[in-house]
Amino acid sequence: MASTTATEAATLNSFNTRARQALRDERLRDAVARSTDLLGSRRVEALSELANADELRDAAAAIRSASVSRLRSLLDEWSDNFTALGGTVHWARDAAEATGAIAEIVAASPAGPGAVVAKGKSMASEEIHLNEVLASAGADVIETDLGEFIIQLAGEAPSHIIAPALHKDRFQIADLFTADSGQAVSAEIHEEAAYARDRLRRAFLDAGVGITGVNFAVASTGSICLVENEGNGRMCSSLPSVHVAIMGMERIVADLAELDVMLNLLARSATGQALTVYTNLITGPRRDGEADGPENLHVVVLDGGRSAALHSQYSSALSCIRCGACLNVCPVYRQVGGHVYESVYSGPIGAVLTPILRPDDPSARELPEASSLCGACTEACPVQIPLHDLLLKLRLERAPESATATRRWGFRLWSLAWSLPLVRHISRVLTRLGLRCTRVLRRLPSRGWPGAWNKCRDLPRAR
Amino acid sequence: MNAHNPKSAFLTRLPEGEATQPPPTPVAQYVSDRKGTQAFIAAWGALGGTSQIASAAEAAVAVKTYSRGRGDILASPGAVEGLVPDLTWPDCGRQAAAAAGVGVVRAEAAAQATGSVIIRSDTNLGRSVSLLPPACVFVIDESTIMESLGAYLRRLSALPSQLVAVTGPSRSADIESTLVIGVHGPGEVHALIIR
Amino acid sequence: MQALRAAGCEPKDVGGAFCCGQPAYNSGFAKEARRVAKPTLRAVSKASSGDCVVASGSCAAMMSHYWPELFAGTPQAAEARRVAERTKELTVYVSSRLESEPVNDAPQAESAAEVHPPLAEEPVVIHDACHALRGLGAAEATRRALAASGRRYVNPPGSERCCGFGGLFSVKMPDVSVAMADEKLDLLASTGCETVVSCDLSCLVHLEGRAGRRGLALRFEHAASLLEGIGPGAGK
Repeated sequence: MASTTATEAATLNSFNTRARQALRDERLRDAVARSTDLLGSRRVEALSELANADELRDAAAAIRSASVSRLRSLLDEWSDNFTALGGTVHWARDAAEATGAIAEIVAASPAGPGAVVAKGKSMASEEIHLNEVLASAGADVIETDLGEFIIQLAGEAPSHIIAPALHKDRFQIADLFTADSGQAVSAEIHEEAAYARDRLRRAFLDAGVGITGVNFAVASTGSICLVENEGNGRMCSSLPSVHVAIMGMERIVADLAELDVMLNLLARSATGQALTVYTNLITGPRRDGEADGPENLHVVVLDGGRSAALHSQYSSALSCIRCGACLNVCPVYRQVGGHVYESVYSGPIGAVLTPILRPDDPSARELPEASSLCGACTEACPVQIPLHDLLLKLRLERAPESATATRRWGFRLWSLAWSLPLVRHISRVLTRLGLRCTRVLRRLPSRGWPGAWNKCRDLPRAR
Repeated sequence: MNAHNPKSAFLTRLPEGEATQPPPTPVAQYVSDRKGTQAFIAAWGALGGTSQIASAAEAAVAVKTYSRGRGDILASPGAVEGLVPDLTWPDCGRQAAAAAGVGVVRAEAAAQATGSVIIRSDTNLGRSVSLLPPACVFVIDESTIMESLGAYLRRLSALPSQLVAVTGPSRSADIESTLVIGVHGPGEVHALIIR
Repeated sequence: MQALRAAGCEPKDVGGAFCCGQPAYNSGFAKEARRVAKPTLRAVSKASSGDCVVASGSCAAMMSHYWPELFAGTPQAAEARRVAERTKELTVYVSSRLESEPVNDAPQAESAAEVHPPLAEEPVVIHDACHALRGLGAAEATRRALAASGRRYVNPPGSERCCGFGGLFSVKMPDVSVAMADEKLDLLASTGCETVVSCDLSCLVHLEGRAGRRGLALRFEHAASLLEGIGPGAGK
């Protein structure tokens, strides 16, 4: 226990340490505020284009929670249909099984273990650290979403679910592209995009394997649905002879009518578009008479801590459709950005999902503290996940064992004291007195929480 | 179920789930003052797509006119009656297709609410024609313009290996939240609506 | 109390009410929160069977939303549910009174612009407290109550964004909390108003503490102190 509490203290400090560093980075904070403001206001505008937005939101919440509660039968139905079409399903209970399966697929592909692997954006692939595993097996993995390509070159992790390179400005990107090409790429955004287009076009045509994520699987048709704006997802799922899609096991809907409800909300909540540029509905590999499309289609279904969450009081977090709306309204994310969370998922949903999916990771344990519980996330969530209540539940479940001894004893003594009428009376008198002597109190040396207040804020004055 | 079967081993870890009523799936209602072809053209145009209405007899000429200055025309067979393209998919091969200037494909339907064009891999012998060239012409039969993608999905019986709703030109806002058009897919999209 | 009297009520002070337990609850210590909240629950339910009006948005949210959960499975469960139903945030309560019993000459204005003649010439800027805004629907109520009191008000940009207090969040993550306060203060000051009004005391203490340290010339008032002008005397 002693070691746990020490670890907790250390990690809480480390979130604060990382936050302090981020707070000093004015460029980062400007970029985060600008992007999230833009995405947030576009979301509100796009939802106002729906006459029955509230009805759709209620339905989306019901659809997601129904899916999460009957995953066994939906996955069973989907995989039977998908397999009948000629697809192959790989059931991965954890990251090692998932990466192992994909490494085997790459090794067995016509291009072999050293294949060029063109990869579309996939949060699930980030969860399992796929790129490192494939690279160490000799594959040449290249991220093809523009934002992901940028952070791959920078050797960083995504800092936002839908805008992974939000923290980079065009000058930093020009440096990365110049280093990648060996020729000067100017810091002009259109030129940077053109460079990425040419560079990645070669990768698409050379790729032996394409890897993408999955937004939704459709049980009744055996389909997978993939939404994206750039066209890299279409490239990855159309040009290589092998397509591997990685799916968190909860990303499933029953039928096309349910898919329609979700599609009406996903892009609006994410970027404020009515639909993303490409809504791809993939139903099996290439068929007779088609001249392209993958001959082999694989879906890796990832558990990765989800089944444990299903049995917990946090199962509603699995309703998440990865739109990022909660990040865009979160006042904490706004100040510090995504890297401070040191997790694939940042912002409110990251603070909820990370400790649930990685219960044994001490650095994930502090994340529920990174919230003022203001509730903006819950309000924005298109599938009505009670995010701030889940953060509170995580604290309630874990604090009594994992908090520092000082904190546990502090609350215990405080609550015992304040349950006595006399002490309550004395506290009242002392508070009144204290409010009149704040000038003196302010000068007293203070540590811990009083010190944290006093360092940058005045004490309250008498009213 | 067999415990050595990976699927059963995976699924048995999940809760059985109660047999519940299926959740409601309301149809989205869109706030719009336009209807029909004009609504589609307005929504498609707002995304950066261009459009034109033509008769079946005018279609081939319309494609030629649009393609002038844009490079070789790559078409899937039968996309436009009477059109003689520079390259025909798939006979031309992928390398040539990738070098073409304009792809011409037949659309299955279009959705007015979102400005989307729906294309299928079975009717165009695959996926490359509308993907590789920097410009794409979607040939849409006006009678197939419907309210929404949802309306199309809900009456669908058989799915092709790939069905795509294309909603405007390829785009990205990954650098400084600045919109860039034509990142990987076609940056110029033209709706040729056949009356 | 005066605000309530001004609105035509006959309030009764709940002497034994002290703390709702929120600091411990939000930190994850339910047992300790229960221990502190219990005397308050007792005092409230003993005092009266009428509405329980709370002058702090976050305390009101704690009592009406989380007490039933906090006391679930204890002998106080039913009592907590009853009190939760009766608990009202002050401005919500005052505003609901205005609807049912229009107060003499108080103008029934929908917006500040319609209020005539203003009691004080200088408009105030409203800070919406998150719990009151999202949990209790107090944003409208605060504005209606202020308008009825004859006070002009201004909505700041980013009004729905948290000020960074968040209870012990303000000391567990002081740097982030202060950064949030700074942004909020800048937005409040950008309106040109000198007085900030909120229905949550804890937000005010946090913002005032930070504004004081930064030397900003902003005054902070609880909405209750402005609502004292409501009623027969309002507008004169």
